[in-house]
Amino acid sequence: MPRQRVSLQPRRSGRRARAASENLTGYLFIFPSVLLISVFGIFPVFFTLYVSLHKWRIKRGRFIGLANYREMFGSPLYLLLVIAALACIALAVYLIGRARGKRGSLSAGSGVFLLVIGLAALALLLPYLARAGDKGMFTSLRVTVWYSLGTVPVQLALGLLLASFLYQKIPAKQVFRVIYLLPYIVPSVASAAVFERLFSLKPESFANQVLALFGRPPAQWLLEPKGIFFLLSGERMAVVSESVIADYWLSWAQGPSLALVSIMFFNWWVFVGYNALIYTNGLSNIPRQLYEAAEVDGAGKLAVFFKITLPMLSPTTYFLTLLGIIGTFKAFAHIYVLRHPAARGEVDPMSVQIFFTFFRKSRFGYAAALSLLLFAIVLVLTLVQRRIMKERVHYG
Amino acid sequence: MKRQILFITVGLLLAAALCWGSPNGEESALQEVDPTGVEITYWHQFTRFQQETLEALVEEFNNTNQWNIKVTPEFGGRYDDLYNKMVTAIAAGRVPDLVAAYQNEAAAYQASGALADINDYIDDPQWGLGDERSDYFEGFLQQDVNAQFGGARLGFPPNRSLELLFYNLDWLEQMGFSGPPKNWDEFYQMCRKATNPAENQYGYAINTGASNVFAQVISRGGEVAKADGSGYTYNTRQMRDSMAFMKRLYGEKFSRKIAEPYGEQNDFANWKVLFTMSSTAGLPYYDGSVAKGEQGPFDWSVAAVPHTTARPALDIYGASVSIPKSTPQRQLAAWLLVKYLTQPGPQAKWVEATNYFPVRKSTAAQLGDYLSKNPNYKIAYDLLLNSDAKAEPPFAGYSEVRDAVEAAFNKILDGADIDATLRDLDAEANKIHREAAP
Amino acid sequence: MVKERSPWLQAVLLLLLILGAFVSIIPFLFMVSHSLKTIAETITRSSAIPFDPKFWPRVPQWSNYRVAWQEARFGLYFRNSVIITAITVGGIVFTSSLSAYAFAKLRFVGRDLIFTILLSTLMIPQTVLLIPNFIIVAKLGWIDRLPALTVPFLASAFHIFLLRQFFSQIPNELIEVAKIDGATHLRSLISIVLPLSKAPIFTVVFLSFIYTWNLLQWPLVVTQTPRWRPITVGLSMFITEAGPETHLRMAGAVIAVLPVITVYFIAQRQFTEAITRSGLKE
Repeated sequence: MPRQRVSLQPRRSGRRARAASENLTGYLFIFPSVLLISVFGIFPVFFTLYVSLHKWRIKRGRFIGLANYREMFGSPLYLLLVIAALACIALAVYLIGRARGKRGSLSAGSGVFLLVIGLAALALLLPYLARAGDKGMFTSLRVTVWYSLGTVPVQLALGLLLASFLYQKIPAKQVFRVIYLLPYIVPSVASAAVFERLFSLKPESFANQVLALFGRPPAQWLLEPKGIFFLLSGERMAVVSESVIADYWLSWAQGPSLALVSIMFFNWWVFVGYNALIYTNGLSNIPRQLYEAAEVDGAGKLAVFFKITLPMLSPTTYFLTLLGIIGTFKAFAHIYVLRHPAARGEVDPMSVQIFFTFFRKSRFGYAAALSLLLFAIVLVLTLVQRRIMKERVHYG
Repeated sequence: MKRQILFITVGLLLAAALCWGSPNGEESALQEVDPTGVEITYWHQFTRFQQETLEALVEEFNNTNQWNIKVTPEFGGRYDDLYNKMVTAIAAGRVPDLVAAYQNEAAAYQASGALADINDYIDDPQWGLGDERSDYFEGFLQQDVNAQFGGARLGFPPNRSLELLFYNLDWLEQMGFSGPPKNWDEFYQMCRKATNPAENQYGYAINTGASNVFAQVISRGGEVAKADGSGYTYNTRQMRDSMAFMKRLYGEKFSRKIAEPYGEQNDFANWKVLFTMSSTAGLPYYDGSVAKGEQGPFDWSVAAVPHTTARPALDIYGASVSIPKSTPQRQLAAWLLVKYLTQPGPQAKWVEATNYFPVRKSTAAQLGDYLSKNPNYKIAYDLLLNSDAKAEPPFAGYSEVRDAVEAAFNKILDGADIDATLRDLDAEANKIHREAAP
Repeated sequence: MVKERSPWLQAVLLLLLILGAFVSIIPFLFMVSHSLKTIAETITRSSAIPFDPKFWPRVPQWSNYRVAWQEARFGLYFRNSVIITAITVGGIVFTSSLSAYAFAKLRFVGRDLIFTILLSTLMIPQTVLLIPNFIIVAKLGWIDRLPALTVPFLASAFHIFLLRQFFSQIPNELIEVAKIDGATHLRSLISIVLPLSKAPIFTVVFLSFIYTWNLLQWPLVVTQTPRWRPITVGLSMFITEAGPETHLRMAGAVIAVLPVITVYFIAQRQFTEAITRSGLKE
């Protein structure tokens, strides 16, 4: 608030004039940004909706309403049921959360009940939905989930590990930091080009030679669409089944394809150094007193880590998790270089699949519909994370 | 009553307008068009020495054509990239004046109404092919006429190539064989004998692309689509046999998948693989690779893909060139470039540099002793004249179907059930066909 | 962390760190070694271990670089990337500092609402914007021209947010004093706020530089000819075309990577500081 000042001007009109001119200045200053962001950031979202309602192959075709969405999901009935199941689960989580602290309340019981119902319903309904809808899309959803699960936790854990190592008394810390950050700095197109060779299916490729060191036969790596759990089981796991439900869940049970896992290696390689850097910053923000107090209390190293370090790092962890998951949806350049048609879509997360639907198949309308689904998912995830952050993240 | 009278009157007026406005069949529709001084762009798919040769030919056209037309050739990327570019170009309304396109790609462009009908040009009394028409291989010309668009001619062939078997003759002779395999059984035996895991050697480098699948199906007398354009037929006996054969070859490790595009060329040059299947346009590349191989040059050649049919049935590729719609002047200028490039003189130069096949019979005369000095090319050319050349489907949406075919082939090699996979493939291909139909 | 540590533990940690660093570097070693081999060598003579002489070329083929440079037209693509990035970074600094100043220091109707809306755009995945923006840019006639590569990126909610954080920490008194002296807000921004904000501005420059330089998806879609193609697209096309010619591919990759690495080694501290700063959340 401005302090009191002696003014010779009549107060009312002076303040009004100043306020008006400040308004004008404000709008002028923000005008370029607002214009650009509106045109290229906000309007497109609505335009996407418009495009998704048409058959649009290069040039605009005819209006087809929700036909694209129907093609995506196949059956409106199953879709509604699945959404209902999800809502059930959301409600259950809410109830359980509310019941924490109050012992034996009705909320907890009904919450658990709803949760079980919701999960069971989901398990039974998803297979039918997936069968009715666009196989490519459901595959890419699965790939996206595996991709997130396989990269974010690992990158966080390795990053934290590295940060804590580098926090010790180690000579040449800066050298290590520089080296570990190197993969993040270089253009991913170039480093992906190298990885594509390192993980080629030739017996003399780097990855296969490493396998040979362990006495294993060469693998197809980036060309391998089979799931990693399936491969590790010696290819003895069942992969198809007569039952629709079992068949669907078996496709999950196989795990991410080896090709996708190879791409995950690339991700870890790129981001560990970056995560470590951010964590280092987080670590240095933890007040010494906390550790000293713990030492006085005779706490063991493990207890110190879990009760002090980890909670104090939760803002950083939240930030990196959010960044990581968003990154999963944005991932493009390295997947574009590393993917191979032989992997049959088992390496294409949603964003890549949408790109090819747009660019290769030139199905603009359908791609627009897919991208709106992606948007909805990202929105939900962000909201969920906000919620978690409210409850779990500790500040100072 | 009043409405009916109105309708009839309007109808009559329209008919009258149409009769008056339409050009007289005898006169040239293009008579008014003057291509003098026009500047056009040509998006092609050639690199390295192919590009150099093309640019030299275009340069000659620029310097010698009587209308002062100037052509700027641009490398637009390989086929997939070029296709993507063209799609964005159509969306943006900024198309080149001449573009390389496979028949199915042209069909996809035409679904947006983007191309000119070249029939208007070849049949034109003033600018058309006239008497020279009979000098062209009619079979080639026919490939660009598209049934999906009422017989419109969406492209024109500047050259053609064949899918053939490339083999290492020295290696075959070392193993005790006298020549290339004539049928699939012999092929199998030779692959088996050549495979030597200790030395990292194997019989055949599997190209899982759709063109290769096509080549195998026709070699057994089958087809992948119905000629009338009503759909695809990927669940036939010949398709099943092809897949089963490859699956066996792969399962027994007598063949391997190709790790990177054109990687089989390197393996071939270094005695790692005995057979590959490739386009004849690859002949100069193989020449180069073999020369740089670790073991130095060796005796190799090309042969027809092993077949069960009486005559060899071979996949004939044809990237044609299409003329996107723009102004009449630019379209005409583009056509004149096409006519020039298919004159026997330029064609001969093109052939010698790239080993593509000419599209006119008289070009052979211009080649002189080139054929005798280049035995591999001669073998390929003879095969062209003496085999049943079949082209892949020219339908819109075939690009997408090709991706599906490649995925299915890989799936089968990786162990999937052939019947189930082919059934799914057939369904998917036909679904794409319906969706992409103009 | 507790200060006392046994020397054994230190040694083990050091060993693990070295191993990890090794893993980080191997791909780069591979890139360099294969860029100097002949094509035949990349197939017949290769190894996984950098200590094995087969990992390295017999005779370094420096000519590979010349070939890759010419074929991939790296000169042109570099030039394009530099121009595109310079314009974009300049634009972002311009629009973001103006907007951040307004949001932090000025009062106008709807300020907070507009700010929240702008921030919410950060949630929108690029893929959702790809198709409509492409159609818009096509309609504007910008396909394969410079504006398509720059204009959509000249403003960024993220950088506005970053700068606003910092600007709001600058005491208002400084600006009030300037106002009494008759300075306009623009003058305040330029002569007072900006000079105090060297660090965050550098962060904005650095982050937007990296982002723009490494962008692949959008330029891939909106450029058709080499005219304005940036180096990422050029490299990815070259990789596809060079296909099995690993040695050329790797030479191309090295060329693309070298400038960035050089700048990085020179300005390490600024890099790490900028990255760290971008991670701070209020």
